[in-house]
Amino acid sequence: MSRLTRRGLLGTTAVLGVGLVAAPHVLRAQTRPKVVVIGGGAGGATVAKYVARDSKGAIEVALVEPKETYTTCFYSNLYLAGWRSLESITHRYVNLVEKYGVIHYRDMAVDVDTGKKVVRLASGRELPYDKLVVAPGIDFRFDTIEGYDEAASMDMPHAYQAGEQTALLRTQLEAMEDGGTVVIAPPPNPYRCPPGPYERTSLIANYLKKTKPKSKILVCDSKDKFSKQALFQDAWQRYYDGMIEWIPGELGGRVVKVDTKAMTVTLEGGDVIKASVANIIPAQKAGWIAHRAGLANDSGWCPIDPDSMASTVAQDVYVLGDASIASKMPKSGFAANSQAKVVAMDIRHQLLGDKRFPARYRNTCWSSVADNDAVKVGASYKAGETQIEVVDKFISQVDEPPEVRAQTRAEADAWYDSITQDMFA
Amino acid sequence: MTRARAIVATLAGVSLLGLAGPVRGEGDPAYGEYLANECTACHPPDVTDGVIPPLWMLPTDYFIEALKAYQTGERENPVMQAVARALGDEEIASLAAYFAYLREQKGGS
Ligand SMILES: Cc1cc2nc3c(=O)[nH]c(=O)nc-3n(C[C@H](O)[C@H](O)[C@H](O)COP(=O)(O)OP(=O)(O)OC[C@H]3O[C@@H](n4cnc5c(N)ncnc54)[C@H](O)[C@@H]3O)c2cc1C
Ligand code: HEC
Repeated sequence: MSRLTRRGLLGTTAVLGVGLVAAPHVLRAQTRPKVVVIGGGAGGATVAKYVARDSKGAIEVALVEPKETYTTCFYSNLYLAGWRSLESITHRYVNLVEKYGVIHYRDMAVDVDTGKKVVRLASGRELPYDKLVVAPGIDFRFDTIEGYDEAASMDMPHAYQAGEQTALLRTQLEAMEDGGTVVIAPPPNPYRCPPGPYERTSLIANYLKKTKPKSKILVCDSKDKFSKQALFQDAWQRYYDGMIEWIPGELGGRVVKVDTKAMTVTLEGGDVIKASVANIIPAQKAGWIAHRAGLANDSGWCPIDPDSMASTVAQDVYVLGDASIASKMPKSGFAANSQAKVVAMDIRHQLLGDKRFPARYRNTCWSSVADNDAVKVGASYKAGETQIEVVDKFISQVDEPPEVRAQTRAEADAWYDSITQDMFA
Repeated sequence: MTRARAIVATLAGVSLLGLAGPVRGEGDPAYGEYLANECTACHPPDVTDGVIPPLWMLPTDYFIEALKAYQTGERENPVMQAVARALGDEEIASLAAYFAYLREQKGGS
């Protein structure tokens, strides 16, 4: 029984008795096939773990991620509310390395030669690959709001890449006086976590109501509608009545200019708002390295094959998570984790001949709106001819009883624990 | 039957034979393992104080019946209804076979 390894169960190339000797990858044991993963976020960490774990050492997995720890954007709004500590949403790569044998290069990928199949790191080291997974998440389009660049984000944090930025926003909220104005500027589509800015609005309101109840939140939007809108607006009215004002794009809500010295935000409609705290979330694109590698198209995101997440631009390269164009799938941690499992399976199939099954994808996004109240939206997906297609979907209802909402809130916590274990444990 | 399946069927034999519940036919535990990767986004590997249980702990019949009840709407959670609706009988049987195997690995009954 102990000889029935995970590989044996998963693959058709059972690693058992004679099968072991006959397996081609074992004969090539000296030169194990190499997988390089760029980015150790929701997508990259999952794919690195799954390939290493399920290939039982038959594939060498290198994870290129400069950071020692990963703070999840998911649940960072709960930290802003004061519900969670930053430590509780920060994870380490130690299990990936020690349990599954992933090699963690704490380095930045600075170039990719998809012809020669080599990744170059900032240190100058070169990593050759048989398969490359590119999962760098997002970068910001800093040219879309006058006065808003990386330096400005130190005064007006986007807090849309978790860690320092999130801590900065929390510090500013704590320092703010009662009666102040918080400006939240959600980005135009497509962007990471469609309900994210609105969950954030709810949870900052939750914090302010408890500590600085005379304060106001102005949501200055570039869009005219948003994810789970009816659910959020219902919650805002029920829990934070009069505290939140949403200005849609059609009423001139889009932020066109910021002045970090004066702490003012100028809207397309002409209003100049003096902010106590300004959370400016600019338009987004695939992480820089994906562009450098030539994987992105004019949209700024990377086209993929819906059945495998393989790049449609370069051979032997996969793009997953926020950087990819997963059509109907939103850019979420859940989606990145789901896509990573399809990629891991495809890689083992290609490199080891392991069995391949049809791609299946799923997403669920919980959003907390108040202490005992959360809502959810989700869908099942499959690979269509040219894009990932929705099979089935659901969304919370506005008139649900409090017990259902409390259960949804509890589910979100259980999900967070499970998915972060799925990625990092 | 692939070699891997044959081996698993032998080693996890008792549980696989126990599959004569609401879903008939044999599950492929290798397929089940792939499908189960979807479940681990929400279901934890071990017992926790959270509201989502680890799946390998559930008795096979109970597991299958629960999924059927989500499919028919008798069990109401929309998250699990969507999960269950995406599973056919073959998928459910394969998942059941895989979790039964896992239960055995973990020294359960
Ligand atoms: C406020 C907020 C709330 C959210 N809430 C949820 C939620 O409730 N549920 C949910 O599912 N999702 C949520 N999300 C979305 C989720 O965080 C992202 O969709 C997810 O992190 C995407 O995963 P990824 O792997 O594509 O990118 P990331 O998780 O961003 O990981 C990318 C990694 O790549 C690294 N990297 C980048 N470039 C390089 C390079 N050149 N070399 C080496 N490494 C590099 C980065 O350091 C980073 O660690 C939320 C997001 C935000 C901002
Ligand atoms: C998006 C999150 C999510 C995913 C993915 C998910 N589940 Fe669940 N599951 C839940 C939640 C939440 C519950 C509790 C639901 C309830 O209270 O009815 C649950 C409950 C269950 C139950 C009933 C448990 C009991 O003790 O009665 C079974 C069986 C189950 N899930 C099977 C699965 C299988 C099999 C998969 C993968 C194919 C899966 N789930 C994927 C969230 C999920």
